[in-house]
Amino acid sequence: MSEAAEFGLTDDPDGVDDRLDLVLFSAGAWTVGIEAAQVAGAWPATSAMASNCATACALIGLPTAPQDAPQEGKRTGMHLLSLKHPEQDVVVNLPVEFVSVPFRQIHPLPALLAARTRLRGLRAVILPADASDQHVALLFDSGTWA
Amino acid sequence: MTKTTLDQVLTQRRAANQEIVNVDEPTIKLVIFALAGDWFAFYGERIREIIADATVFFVPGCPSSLEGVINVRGDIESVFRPHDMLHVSDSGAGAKSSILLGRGGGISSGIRVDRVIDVVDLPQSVLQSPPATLPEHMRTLVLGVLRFAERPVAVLDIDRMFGDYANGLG
Repeated sequence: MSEAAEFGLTDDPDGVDDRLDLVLFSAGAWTVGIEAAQVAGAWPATSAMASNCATACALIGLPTAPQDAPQEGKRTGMHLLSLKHPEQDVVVNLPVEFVSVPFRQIHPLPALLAARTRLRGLRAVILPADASDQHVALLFDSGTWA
Repeated sequence: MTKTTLDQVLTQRRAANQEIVNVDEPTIKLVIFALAGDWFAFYGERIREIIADATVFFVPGCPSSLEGVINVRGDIESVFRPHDMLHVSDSGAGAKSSILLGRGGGISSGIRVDRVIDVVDLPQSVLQSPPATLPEHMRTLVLGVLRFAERPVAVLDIDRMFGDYANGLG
């Protein structure tokens, strides 16, 4: 199942919902998203290329401890995302997907969570379509990753 | 033997009725709950809902006292555990645990409690000032104390609790 399908981000055949275009990718064990408008491009990364770029996990401050790793069996290939502001390349894990997300599925952070999170640029979450999944997609403002 | 007349009976009854003073004492609604072995309460008007069973979605990068978020009819709310803040032992969410959905200081959040004891209306007079012997960490959080079901109950200031938590306490 794709990351988009896991979060119920299916096509909107009627086109009735206002939507935000996102790029979803894996960072560590988590599904992470940023606005598509902040991404200039993406391509497969070799180890040599990746070694010269920061990983998304490092930029975000995502923990990689086992207890924070709900997703298993994900593909672990690397991609480079080229960001516009600030202009930099970031190493992310596959899958990398372009999705169009209805506004109603994007939840701003509750006040206490916004106050206490240690993740850089965390702005919102998307809940999984299946409640038994119990992991959220994390949406960031990549402009804070300088 | 003198017989009691009807007039005397009615006079006695009227006098007795006059002694009954109808006092409309102000009441307070409290949501009383347990954390470990201690009982606490919030004012009822600050608790929007008691949620017995909800899926909590973990969010990484938060203190361990912040369990995650829950979906409340399409909106999400944080859920935090106040145990550390109140210096009570935290054995994790048990079968009887609930989430109190509270609002205070302009903030809305779920608060994990080990057990909801009762939701009661009590005379305001039962609420006493916090005792001078209250531990330091509780002094700013406790609005008053009372006895309920033979147990001491500390009524907590939810505004202060949310504000302190947002500022890194707990």
